[in-house]
Amino acid sequence: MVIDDACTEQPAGAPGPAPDGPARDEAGGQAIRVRGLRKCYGRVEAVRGLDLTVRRGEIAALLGPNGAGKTTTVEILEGHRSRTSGDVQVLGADPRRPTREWRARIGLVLQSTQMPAELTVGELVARFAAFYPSPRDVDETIELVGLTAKRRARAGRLSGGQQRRLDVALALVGDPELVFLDEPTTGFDPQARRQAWSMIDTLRTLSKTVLLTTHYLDEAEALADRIAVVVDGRIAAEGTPATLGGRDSAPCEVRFCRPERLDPAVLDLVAASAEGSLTVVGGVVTLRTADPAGVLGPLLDWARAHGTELPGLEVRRPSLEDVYLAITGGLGARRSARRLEDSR
Amino acid sequence: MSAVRVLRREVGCASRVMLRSPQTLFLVVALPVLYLVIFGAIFSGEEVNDVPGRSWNLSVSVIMTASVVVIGVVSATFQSLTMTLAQDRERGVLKRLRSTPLPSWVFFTAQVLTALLVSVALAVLVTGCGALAFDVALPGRRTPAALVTLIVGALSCSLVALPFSVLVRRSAAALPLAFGVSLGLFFLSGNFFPGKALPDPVASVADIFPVRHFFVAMLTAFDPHTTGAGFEWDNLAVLGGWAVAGALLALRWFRWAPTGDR
Repeated sequence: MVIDDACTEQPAGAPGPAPDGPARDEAGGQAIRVRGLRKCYGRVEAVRGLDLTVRRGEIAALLGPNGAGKTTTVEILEGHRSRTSGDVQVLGADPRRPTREWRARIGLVLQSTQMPAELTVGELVARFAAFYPSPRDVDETIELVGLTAKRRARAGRLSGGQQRRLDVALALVGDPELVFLDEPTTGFDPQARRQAWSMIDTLRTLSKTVLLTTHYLDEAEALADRIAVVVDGRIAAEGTPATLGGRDSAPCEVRFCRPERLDPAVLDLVAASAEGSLTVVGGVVTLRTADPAGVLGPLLDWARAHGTELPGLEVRRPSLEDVYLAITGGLGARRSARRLEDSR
Repeated sequence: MSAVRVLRREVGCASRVMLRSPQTLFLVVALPVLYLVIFGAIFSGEEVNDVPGRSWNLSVSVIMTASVVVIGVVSATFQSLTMTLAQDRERGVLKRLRSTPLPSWVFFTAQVLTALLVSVALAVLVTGCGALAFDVALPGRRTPAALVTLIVGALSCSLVALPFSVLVRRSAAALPLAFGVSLGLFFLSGNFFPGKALPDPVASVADIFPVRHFFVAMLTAFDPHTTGAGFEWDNLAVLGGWAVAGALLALRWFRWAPTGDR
C-alpha cells in the first residue's frame, strides 16, 4: 500500500527536495513555504503531500472540513509537531528546531487555551509582553482587542468570546511578524464572530502576515486575501475568494419567469447568440452562459419594447459555497472510497 | 528584558495564582493550621516517651508542630505544583508558553522558587501558631538546621512534582491524585501519630519516600533536647537524592502539550 512507503520516517539530513536558502525565502517575500509536507500518525496519513506559500503581509486562510489536516499542518509550522517528511520554511527557518529568536517573531492562537483563571487580563498581557525583546504597548494591545473594560477582570470570569480575544492579545503583544490563528471563532455567536473578524481585519493595517484556519466559508471569504482549500491532507484548490475554483470564469445562471408573450423562438435565438444553454422548467427560464451581458441585453430590450417585465429576474454566479462543496464533495467521496479500501 | 526581571515577574504571577485560588489556600494554609490546632488541642500538654531514636520524653505539641510544618511544605510544593502544572498543561497554557521565547529554565525556576517562598512563609506561620498556642520553643540555635531542612525538603518535594504532574492526565484528576498521594505518605510516615513508633515494614516502606526523612530532620531541629546544630545529614542526603531524581526525570519526561495531543 502507498501509505506504508510514505510513512517511513525520513532520517534527519537525508537528501530530500533541495531546500531554498533562508535568504532567498526572505528576499522573495515569502513568510511560509511548504513543499511536499507529510505527516503520519501510525499508519494514518493526516497530511499527504501539502504545498503552500504565504507571502509577507498576506492574510491566508486554510479552509477545509474537520479532520482535513488543517491543525496538524499549522502545528507543524508553529514548531509544535514533528513532520514525517517535506520541506518547511517559516520566516526563513525550519520550525523543526525553533530558536528563541524565531519564536519571538511569531504569535499564535492555539485551538484551545484557557489561561490561568486567577490572573487578570492586564497581568496576563503584561506577563507575555515581558517574554519578547520589543513588545507592543500593553494597554494599546488590550484596546486593540476591545478588552479595555475588562483589564482588571480575571481570565476565569471572561466569556468564551472574551477569552479568545485575550488569546489574540497575547498573540499580538510580542509584535510578531507572523500570526497563526487556529479556528479563532469556533463556538462564537454571530455577533462575537463579527467582532473577531473586524479585529483580525485590523491585523491587515498592522501589515502582519496571518495564517488562519477555519471551517467557516464566510469567515475565509470575509478575511482572507487568499484561500487554500485543504481536503484529505492536500491543497485541493487555491485562489482569492473571488477566483477560487474558477469561480470568476464559471458560467452564470440567468433566471426569470417566462412572460406569456415571450416567444420560445426568441429565447432560443438569445441563448444561441450568447453560446448559452437553455432550460425551461415549470415556466422558469434558466440560461447558463459565460456571457450574461449578451443574454440580458436582448432580453431587456424585448421587455422594454413589449412594455413588460421579466419577473423574478436574477443573475447568479456560483457562490463560494457552491465552489467549496464541489471541491470538497468530490474529494470527500474519494476519501471515503479510500477509507473503505484501507479497512480491507 | 533580562532573564532576572522575567523571572521576578513569573514568580509574581505564580504566587498570585496560588494566593488567589481558594482551593490552594485551603489545602496549603487552612488545612495544615487546622491539623495543628486539632492535634495540639487533643494532646495538649501530653508527653510521649517512645519517640524513635530518642531516650527522652517529648511534648506532643513539639512533634505536631514539626509534623505540620512538613505537611504544609508538602502541600505548598508537591500538591500545589502538581495541580498547577497538570491543569496548565491540560488547558493548553504550557503549550502556549512553550511557543513564546520564555526560556524553560526561567519557567521552572519561577515555579519552584514560588513554592519555596510560600513554604518559608507557611513554616513561619505554623511555628508561630505552635509557639503562641502550645508554648512550643522556637528552634533557637538550631534555626540554621531548621532552615536548611526546610529548603532542602521543599526543593525535593517541588522537583518531584515536575515529573509526577505528567502522570496526571486530566485536570480534574490533579487534586485527588496529588492530595491522595501526599495524604498516604503522611500516614505512612507517622505525621498523624505523634510519638508512636511505626511497625518495621511500614517504616521501611516510608523510608523510601522523602516525607519521613523530611519529618525526622525537622523534628530534630525542633526538639529542644537535641545537642549540637541539629543537622540530620543522612535524611537530608535522601531528600537531596529525591531532588536530583525529580529534576532528571523532569528533563526526560516533562510534557508541555495536553494529553489529547498526539
